[in-house]
Amino acid sequence: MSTSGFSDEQLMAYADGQTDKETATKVALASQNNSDLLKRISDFKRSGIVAKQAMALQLSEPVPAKLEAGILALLAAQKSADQVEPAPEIASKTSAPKTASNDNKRQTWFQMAAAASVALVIGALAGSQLLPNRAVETPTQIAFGQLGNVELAGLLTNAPSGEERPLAQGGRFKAIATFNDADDALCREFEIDGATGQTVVSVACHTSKAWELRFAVASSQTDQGYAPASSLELLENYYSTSGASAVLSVEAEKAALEAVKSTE
Amino acid sequence: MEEFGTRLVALLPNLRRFALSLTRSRESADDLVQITCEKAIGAYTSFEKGTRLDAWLFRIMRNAWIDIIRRNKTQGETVEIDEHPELLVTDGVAIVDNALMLKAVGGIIDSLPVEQREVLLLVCLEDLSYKQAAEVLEVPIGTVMSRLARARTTISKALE
Repeated sequence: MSTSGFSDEQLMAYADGQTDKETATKVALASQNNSDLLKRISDFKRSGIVAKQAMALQLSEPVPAKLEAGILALLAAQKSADQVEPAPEIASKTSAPKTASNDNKRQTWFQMAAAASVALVIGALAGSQLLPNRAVETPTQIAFGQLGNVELAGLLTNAPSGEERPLAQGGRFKAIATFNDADDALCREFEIDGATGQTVVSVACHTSKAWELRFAVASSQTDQGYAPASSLELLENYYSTSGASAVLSVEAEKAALEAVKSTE
Repeated sequence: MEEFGTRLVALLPNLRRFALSLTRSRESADDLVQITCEKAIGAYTSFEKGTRLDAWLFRIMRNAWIDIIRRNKTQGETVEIDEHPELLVTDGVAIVDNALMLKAVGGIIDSLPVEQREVLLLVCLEDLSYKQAAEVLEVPIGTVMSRLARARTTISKALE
């Protein structure tokens, strides 16, 4: 407080142009012939300017490229997730709007975007059936080659979304989400982390009593940075062009997988 | 989403400097920016259009930082510093060089309690109104004003 009857807060607000009209008028009138008051106002103005300059000098640094790339990947992942959200006409097909497994899917994409550096992108691989002794002619063999396809087919039929299962030859399998494609085939998005650090995010659909690989993005968990947004956009493009339904609810997924079991 | 993303990326420098001010560590600041953006992107539909995106993001960041501190119990000690004449005066002669003076003031700001430092940054550097800063910090506007006035009085005294 001061001898002039104005508090520091009032004078600071006046100096900052953030006081109400009535107080502003009072301060303006009182300071006309009061050098002490004028100095206090001037000090607040100066301290504000100097603080701004000092903090700008001290804290303003270029945003690290790695950080910015990570945020761009997060945005791309969210954009993808938004587009996988059920469109009204598609939603009516499965009656499965936002579900627990859908949430899980989004979270996984975030984690993937933040942790993986995409090394290679593989386009549509329709027709590559996951049958024994049929290697995929792409770098996905880095992942698929490490496990018997019988094992993978079993995991696709049995593992609920959100669950991780260790693979016989090292690494892990994680079911991400389940949906129907435009032809009503049951499809699953899943991840395989190879023992070498290679990760493949894939989609396989169940047709003719077997699981077929439809899409895969190979990535490697290295220290080279974050996944470029373009890789996630490819997954997004796959979903938007394949006529994918909404992600099935936990209950719907369970029933659909039971139905698959009965055909095998 | 497109527009939100563009604006978010444009605000990354502002987010990072607030994070630097809170954490005082580049590594922790980058982590905090990442966490803040994850939370913001996940909740972007709840951002009220027509309001300041930076203030909304600062609030998310500050809450995230408080959570981290609570979880890790790593809050640095806060020391009340009334004045730092030694930072501004060399052999009794006030430093007049502007760059040196700003650096010295930066040192004073660093020594302020975090409560004063964050309000100083939000109002003086990021140009938030007292009311907006109060919303970010979730304290009454009077608290914002008293913290800010104390911080600036400390700086003014050192400048004399």
